Amino acid sequence: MKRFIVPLLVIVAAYALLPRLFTADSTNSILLWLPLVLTVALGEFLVVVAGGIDISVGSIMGFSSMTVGIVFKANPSMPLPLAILVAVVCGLILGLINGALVARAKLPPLIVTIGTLATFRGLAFLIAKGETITGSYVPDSFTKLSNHGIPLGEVTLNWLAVTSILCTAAFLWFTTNTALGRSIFAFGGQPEGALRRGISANRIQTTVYALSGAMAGLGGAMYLSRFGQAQPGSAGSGFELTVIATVAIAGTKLTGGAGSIGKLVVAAIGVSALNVALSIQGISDDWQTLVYGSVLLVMVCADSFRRRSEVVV
Amino acid sequence: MVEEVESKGLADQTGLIASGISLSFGGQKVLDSVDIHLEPGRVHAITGENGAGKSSLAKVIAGIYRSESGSISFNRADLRLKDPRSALRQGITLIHQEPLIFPDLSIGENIFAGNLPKRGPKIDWDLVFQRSRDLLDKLGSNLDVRTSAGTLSIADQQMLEIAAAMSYEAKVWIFDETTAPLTPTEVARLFGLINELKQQGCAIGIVTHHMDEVFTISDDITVLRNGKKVVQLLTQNTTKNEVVSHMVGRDLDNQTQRTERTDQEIAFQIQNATGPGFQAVDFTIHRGEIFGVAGLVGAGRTELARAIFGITKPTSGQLKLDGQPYEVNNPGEAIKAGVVLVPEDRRGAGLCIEQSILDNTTLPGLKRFASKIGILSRNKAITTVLPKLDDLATKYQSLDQPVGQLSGGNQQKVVLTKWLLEEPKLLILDEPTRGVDIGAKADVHRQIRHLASQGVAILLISSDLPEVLSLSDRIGVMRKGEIVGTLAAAEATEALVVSLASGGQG
Repeated sequence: MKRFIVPLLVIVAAYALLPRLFTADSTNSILLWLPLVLTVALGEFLVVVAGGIDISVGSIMGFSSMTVGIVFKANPSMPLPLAILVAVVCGLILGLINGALVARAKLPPLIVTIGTLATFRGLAFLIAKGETITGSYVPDSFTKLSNHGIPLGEVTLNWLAVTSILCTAAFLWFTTNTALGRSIFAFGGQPEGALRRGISANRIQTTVYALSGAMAGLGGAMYLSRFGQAQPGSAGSGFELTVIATVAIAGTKLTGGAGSIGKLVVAAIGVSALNVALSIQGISDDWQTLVYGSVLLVMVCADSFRRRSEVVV
Repeated sequence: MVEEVESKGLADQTGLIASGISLSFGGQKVLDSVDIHLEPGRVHAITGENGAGKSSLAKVIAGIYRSESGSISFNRADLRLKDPRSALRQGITLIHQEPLIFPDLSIGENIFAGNLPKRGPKIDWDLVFQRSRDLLDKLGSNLDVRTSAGTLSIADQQMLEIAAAMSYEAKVWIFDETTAPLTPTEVARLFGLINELKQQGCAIGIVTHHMDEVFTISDDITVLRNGKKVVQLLTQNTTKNEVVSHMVGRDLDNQTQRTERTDQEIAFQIQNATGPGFQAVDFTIHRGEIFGVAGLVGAGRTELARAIFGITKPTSGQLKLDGQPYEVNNPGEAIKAGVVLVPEDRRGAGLCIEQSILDNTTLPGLKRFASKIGILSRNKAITTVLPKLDDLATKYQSLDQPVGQLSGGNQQKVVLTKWLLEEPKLLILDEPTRGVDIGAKADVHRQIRHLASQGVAILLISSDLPEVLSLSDRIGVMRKGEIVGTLAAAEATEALVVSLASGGQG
């Protein structure tokens, strides 16, 4: 339990900031945010465990939400599973581009994904051709995924939340029970040692960036469902900060090799609650950015100090 | 003992045969058409000076490097090794000099990483832990397989790598300088294991430049020099001297050329100093004197050196350099005052491994190579650095070559050159020849003596007793942070130093 202190503290801070969060209304608001944060954070988590970073997830969300919106505009009666598949495939393709640049071209992940952060955002503008996806293009059945679901008293566990919970379960299984999932942890902790054991760096890096892209793609679909509209400039913009902060708050080793999906869930709840609390208090987005940035810096420092205390000089 | 093997045609020999292996890095030939035959049930020592190509050969066999030409076969089947994975699949494993473990994973998972057994689609964790337990039992270790591997000693980390190799049921084992980080007991245990693998019919190669090891454990010896195979010998038919002369290809200057020092001027004095890791330390070093510090690992020798160099601070006591009080807060001030430390960990603390030789050697004194307005003169740097590198017989291709490409011995020479350019008053050497081969060692020793003869005071910290005994004018023996005795060169013997260092009666 001691290890859960930091992510739990964030939840406590959010509820201290706004005791009203305990109401069913606020809980429903949190459950609107949670699926986006958690889904995209799962992919980012794997990248960080593998010793990398993916800054481009916000732009991938933007691109995928625009693509799904455009497809809906052209074909309003498209089945929902197909729309979601389009989003995931979009993200997967963009993620594979990141993966190829990191794994094959051996470029530093930070630079690669800062580059693709801009490139993918540019692509979102290109496919939008100056238009935005307004509410009239998005079918009601699609937006209902975010406010209908499994009723639990006054709280509704919406379908997006259900999806993110299923994704979490899948990631948990993948990281504990498969050789590839375990290899990600081994590679992130000691890349050269992993190579000695025949673990392919190429395969690990391609996998984690592809998965991160796919999850961000799914996050883009969730964004469209939750907001009912999307603009190429704003959809998912800045979300990379939220997600990386979540991964850091979850105590994931920022140099790679260790992290817990359980803690990631708690951190995602904390970040979502904080987000709702800040919004309800009328604190502007600018301040929220500042808060996430500061939290991230604090976590990076904590991570660094923890490592320094491990190595007795 | 082992019987003589009859000579057979190479074609119907079992075991691992590598023939005509060539390898280059950046145009420099590291291996030049090398042949080696590792036979089942025999231990084959691969020896040579640092930079001779021993480790490179091992890495080619283990699939880490891909050779430019040549072929490798195992039990008469040709192998195409494109990465460590394909070598492991063929049962070829390399135990590295420095083990690399996964600190956040459990010990069991460390052993099976990359090779986790499955039941259906899932990893069979029960089997992982059970088999790890069995493997560690076989190795005589009682580590808990479910705890994380983060805090294991080097010897234990190495054991995890050995257990991992056993999990592949490796048939060809290559040990690359694996005894370097081990204590004598651990070495004995490792040799026991190697003998056991030999009994089981594994083909074993050991890469080493320690003659004692070669003659303790091997059946065959291949000597490499400058990337070429010089000779293959049967261990029982040869002698250490013969092997060493094949390794070096020239006569070693092994005699002590001690010149009586008449200079009685005190260069450095430390009085009753206490600090992190040492207490009440007292000694003086005269100009041109080599003061050796012997002691067991952890006796406080390195800590003392770090304090003198300003990395840590003594809490009490007095230090004097050339009669002036010497008090420094950081290494920068120490260097300015004329004190220089050549650290033990070359790669980590002594060199910028990706930078060129020229950049490394000129780094501390960049100002000296600059014009008045601060522009660096490459010519000035080259003309200053070149003669110093040559003095040490450093082998390199160009001054712009990254030092990471040099062998350990040559790297150490670059570190020395760098500090010699500073013209220090007191030179502190911490394990100057650890991991350095015999030839380079002699060069480094010659240079240390040469420096002393020019009046530099030298503080020599070394665990290599013959080195301390042959180089030092006086020897201070440390135990538990204190200097427990100071011996003049004439009265110092290995036995005396050891008994002082280990707390036996002096």
